[in-house]
Amino acid sequence: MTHHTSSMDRRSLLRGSVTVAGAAIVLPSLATLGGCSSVPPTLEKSMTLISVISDRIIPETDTGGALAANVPSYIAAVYEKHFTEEQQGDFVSGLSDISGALSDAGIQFVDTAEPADVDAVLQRLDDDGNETWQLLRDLTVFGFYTSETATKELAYEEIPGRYDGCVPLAEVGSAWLARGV
Amino acid sequence: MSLDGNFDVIVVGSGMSGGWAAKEFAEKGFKVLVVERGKDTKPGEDYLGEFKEPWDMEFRDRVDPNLVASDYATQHKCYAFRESTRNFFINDRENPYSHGEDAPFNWLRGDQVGGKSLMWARQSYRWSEMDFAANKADGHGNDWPIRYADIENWYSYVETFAGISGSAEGLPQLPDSVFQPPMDMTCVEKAAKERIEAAFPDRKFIIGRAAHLTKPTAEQMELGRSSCQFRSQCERGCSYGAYFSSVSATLPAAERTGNMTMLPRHLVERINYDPKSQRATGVRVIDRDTKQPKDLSAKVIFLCASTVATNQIMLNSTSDDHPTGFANSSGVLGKYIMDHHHRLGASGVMPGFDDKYEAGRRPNGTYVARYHNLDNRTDGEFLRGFGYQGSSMRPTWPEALGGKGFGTDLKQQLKQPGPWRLRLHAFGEQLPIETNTITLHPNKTDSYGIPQPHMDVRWSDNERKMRKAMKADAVAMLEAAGATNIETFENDPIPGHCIHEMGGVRMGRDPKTSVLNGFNQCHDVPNVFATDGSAFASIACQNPSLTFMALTARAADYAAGQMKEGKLV
Repeated sequence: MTHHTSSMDRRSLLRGSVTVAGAAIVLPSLATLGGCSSVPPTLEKSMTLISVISDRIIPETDTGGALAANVPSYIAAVYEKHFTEEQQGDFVSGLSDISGALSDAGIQFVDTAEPADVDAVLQRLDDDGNETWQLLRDLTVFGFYTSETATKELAYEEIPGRYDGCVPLAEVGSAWLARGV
Repeated sequence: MSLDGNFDVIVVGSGMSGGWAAKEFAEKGFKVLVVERGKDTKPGEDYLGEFKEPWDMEFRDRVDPNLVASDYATQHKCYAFRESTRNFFINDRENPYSHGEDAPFNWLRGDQVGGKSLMWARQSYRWSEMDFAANKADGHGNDWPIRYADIENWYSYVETFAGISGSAEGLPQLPDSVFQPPMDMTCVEKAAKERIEAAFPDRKFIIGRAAHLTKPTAEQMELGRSSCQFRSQCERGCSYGAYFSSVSATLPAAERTGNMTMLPRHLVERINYDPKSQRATGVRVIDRDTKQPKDLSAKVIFLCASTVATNQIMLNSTSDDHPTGFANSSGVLGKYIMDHHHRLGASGVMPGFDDKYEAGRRPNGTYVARYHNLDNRTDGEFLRGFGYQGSSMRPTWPEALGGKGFGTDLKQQLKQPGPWRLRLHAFGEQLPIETNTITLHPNKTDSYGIPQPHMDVRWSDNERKMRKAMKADAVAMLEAAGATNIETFENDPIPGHCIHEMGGVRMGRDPKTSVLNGFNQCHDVPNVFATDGSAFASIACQNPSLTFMALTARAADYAAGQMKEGKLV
């Protein structure tokens, strides 16, 4: 329970600092962390970065994006329960490198930065094949398209009840939402 | 429940074969005890993954990799292994088996009432005369004691009950089943069919024949089964009973007679044998919860435990009369193990259909019937033959994993499906070879003290030669279909991985070279039968489950007749 308290404190602190800075962008991401449930201590200070980056990977359009789909808490859960200690270490240190790349580009506070400036850095990571970026990107894509939010983005039927092998694509309108891999 | 009752038959295993044995004997009025090593499966209630949306599962149907490493090191290699199906796969850590360092073997298995019939791929194809005659024609393995005419009516019998969807084609090498209406092909498959069949008049590209109800009969509806809903999540279990499993079909049919007793969580250690009468008296089981052994008796034993487990039980049932394993005067018990070799084929992009799509999730693919060596010729590049399972699809968001790009552009791009892809995946026959074996490991035991089965199964030159043709023909057919960007794929075909492992307790005419006769009955001990994949003397190239069902129903009918005549009492 002690680290719950400390994580809530830390989040309150973050929220406060954001409010002082007058930017709204980070608020939805913090609101999606699922109460004070499950951000592992070693990932706490990276959650803002993870939230902002996942939001840039699958942004809100006419449908919700990664934040609406709670992707940051999904990533935190994968980190906590599926990663080995070594993978956790690599991930945290990779995130720190990404922070460094953002700093080098003059971005001190990723949550208040211009999205276009953040995107420019992410594009370089994407071009360079940065491993932590690739992992974040894939976890975000997977987390988003296996969320209920994605049923608004792509065509979805829980129980189709029939099979028609050849229909006009226009009738469906978009890709069907595949059910994960 | 009292287990000291007078059971007529003990059926070992409740999967594809055991379910049929239970149903047939129970419906004929015999008292049947089904011994199942796994946990009980209540239809619906124990389909733990059914109706779960991806977001209902914390990790979206992915299994914890740490749990995979510790408990499912082999099972996770199965295409059907997911968080939503994990309850149907055995725990590898608790249930070890053995294989040679240089001879990998993937033993994929269930651990519940219903066995692998719950998560099988439902593909159902009859064998033909050619298949039963193959061993005799080229001299590999022993001659099957039966021919197509012996099993034809039994195929019809089990198909009528199970429900097989498919199209009648009149192919001699792939006889038609009793069909319910076929599932629809995609526009791409329809085009590929026309083009491939025009380019290769000896080849037929058809919709898969699959054990799904598309027009249920009154008998099927009485058992609570209904039409396929096209959810394509069959391996989680289906409350609609739309695909055939023992849990949805044969076991409820046995249950309603009042003649079946189901004993889950008990594994069979050995067959008990009475040297005076030279008959089996029953089986010794171990209660998995108390680890206590118990002897159960019956007039007749049906071994339906799955290929490897039936071999293991028979090898472990030694006595003075049977020093090398049960009913093994021939010395062939545990030999001639086979599996289909697969994990090879090709796929390509099908241009010209970008405005077409499908609706519903079809739990079935396409099939190309065997066309090589239909006369069982021995002067070709290789012996026997292969078929192809196929699929067509438009890739969607999972295709983006491991790729590049992000942001609104990526989201927009994933809004539309990718170009149609057509895929052919070959499944080839393995020759029966004496040195491909299951033995009992001399030292390693499981947690019940039972010797572990030790597998040593290797491919031969014939399979290697066949694989070249499997790959080249896939490419040629995709070219004929008009595909572009054709890519081949080939992975190591680990024995067992196709989950079509068969042999070891083979049927035959001659007691000197086979364990079972033409009715799956032990030559040496007439009140013991084996009717799962272990009984097979060769494996053809078709998926085997339909033939397990037909042979089991036929053997049960024969044994019932023998019992009524007082011959097996």
